[in-house]
Amino acid sequence: MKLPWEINTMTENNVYSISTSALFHALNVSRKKQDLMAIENTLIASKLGILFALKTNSYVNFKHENAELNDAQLIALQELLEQHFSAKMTDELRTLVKTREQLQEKTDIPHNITPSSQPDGQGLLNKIRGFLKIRPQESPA
Amino acid sequence: MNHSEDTYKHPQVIATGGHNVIGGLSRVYHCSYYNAYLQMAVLLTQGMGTHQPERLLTDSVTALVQLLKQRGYTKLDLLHEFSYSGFGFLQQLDENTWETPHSHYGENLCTHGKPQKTCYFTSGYLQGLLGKRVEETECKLLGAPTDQFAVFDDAPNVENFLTRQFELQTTIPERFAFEGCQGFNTRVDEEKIIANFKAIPLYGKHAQGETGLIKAFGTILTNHFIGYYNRISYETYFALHNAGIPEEDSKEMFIQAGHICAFNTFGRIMSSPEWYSLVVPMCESKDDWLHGMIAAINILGWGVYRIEKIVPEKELIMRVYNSYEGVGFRRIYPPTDDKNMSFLAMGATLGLVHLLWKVDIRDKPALTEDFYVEQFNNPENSYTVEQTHAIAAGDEYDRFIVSN
Repeated sequence: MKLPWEINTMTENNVYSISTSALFHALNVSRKKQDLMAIENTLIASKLGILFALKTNSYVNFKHENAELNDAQLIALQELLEQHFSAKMTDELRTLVKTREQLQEKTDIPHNITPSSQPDGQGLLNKIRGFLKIRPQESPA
Repeated sequence: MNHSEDTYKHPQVIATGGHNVIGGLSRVYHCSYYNAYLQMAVLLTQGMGTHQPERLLTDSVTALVQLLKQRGYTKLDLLHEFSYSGFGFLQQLDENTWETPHSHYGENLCTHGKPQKTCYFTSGYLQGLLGKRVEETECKLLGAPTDQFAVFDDAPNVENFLTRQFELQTTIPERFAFEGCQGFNTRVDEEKIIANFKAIPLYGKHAQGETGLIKAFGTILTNHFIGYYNRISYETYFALHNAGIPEEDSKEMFIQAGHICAFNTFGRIMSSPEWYSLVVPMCESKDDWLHGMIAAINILGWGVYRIEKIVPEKELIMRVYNSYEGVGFRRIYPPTDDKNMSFLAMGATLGLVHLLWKVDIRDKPALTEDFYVEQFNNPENSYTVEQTHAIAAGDEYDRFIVSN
């Protein structure tokens, strides 16, 4: 599969799905290889959400288990990871992203890095919660 | 410029209502972890239209130094206070060049992104001191032997932002002596802890051969301006809010800064020889450790912390009178409807709970970066925090509930 930065003319309608737990794990592996400190998932998710929104004018919640990105957003993600997390992850992203077609056709193929392969045995991002307790909004009287 | 430290008097510190006031401006102790993470959070908005976080980080302190000069500070006073406060050692090289051989901001890297010049604070301090625009030209974080600063002829265009009157509360209830407070039974002697910790020399020295840094408890501290923290935090938060960033994400960044501060600095204090010789003999339970650490927090200038309720391993309720964020907010902005506005206190209170109820600092774990990540990538036994009362929103005190 060619990713958007590998082709001359950007196709506009591709949608990619990426496991955020696998993405964060790969990000920290990349950082550790450079002797940089690892970053906990909640902080990565919040920081990436902010940076992504400011760069693309669209919000993606990286605290969910999967994030769906189009071509331009995938390029933005690659740039943000390099600029703000010192992680050049072109190769990792190639293995992590799945097109909708791939997901539909091969739902049983595991990711290269699955949550269960993480060292702490944790990793499902739907378990991640932030530090701030958010109460549901009360409906107006 | 070559006065020795011992011939120069330290600035007068007025301790009142949980604040430490120097030159009419409230100061708070904070660690390099907090300063690095807070600056990183502010710089997330780089390239965001007209917001200009670099100017915010620089000019916010310029305005405060201008206030000190209006109150009679001389250039020499400001140079000494730069070091006294732990910001480093400032010296002039020639008419248009200054340097800091050692500086708090130049030596404490926040390693998430690519290294960049980081001494915005020092540039802004020099701008106030000299009345001229200053830019950093060399930074130790980029491999230079010293941080260097170029002075330009034009004056900085900076306005005072402390434009609102808001007085400190003077009737603060004694520990455990307020309505709604749980009846606590502890041998922890807060007055004794405060007296002993206040005797620790938490200041830097302005003299040749000195660094002008405050090294204590295995970390590096500053005695910083509350106006600076509040200005850079809230202006950034409002900018993120106006850009449509969800509240949860933007607040999380600032709460994280407080949490990292608490986890590392409180954790190191609670592992220190001073703690073990003074506080631990008073402690029989984790509750006592909480009471002990609250006593230590009450010397930092963060306001007056009062524990309202402890349900072991389940819930902690904390009040903060004269919280520096609440007071600081009201000195810059009109009251808000949002109660969750004291980001540092939220993160700090949560961090303290995590140190005792998630990690158990009594086991003396090594507080490494890997340990931190390992703990907080594991959702088990994690807590969340909410603020129910806020001075920023017109309440008498800030109040926080940490629960699981």
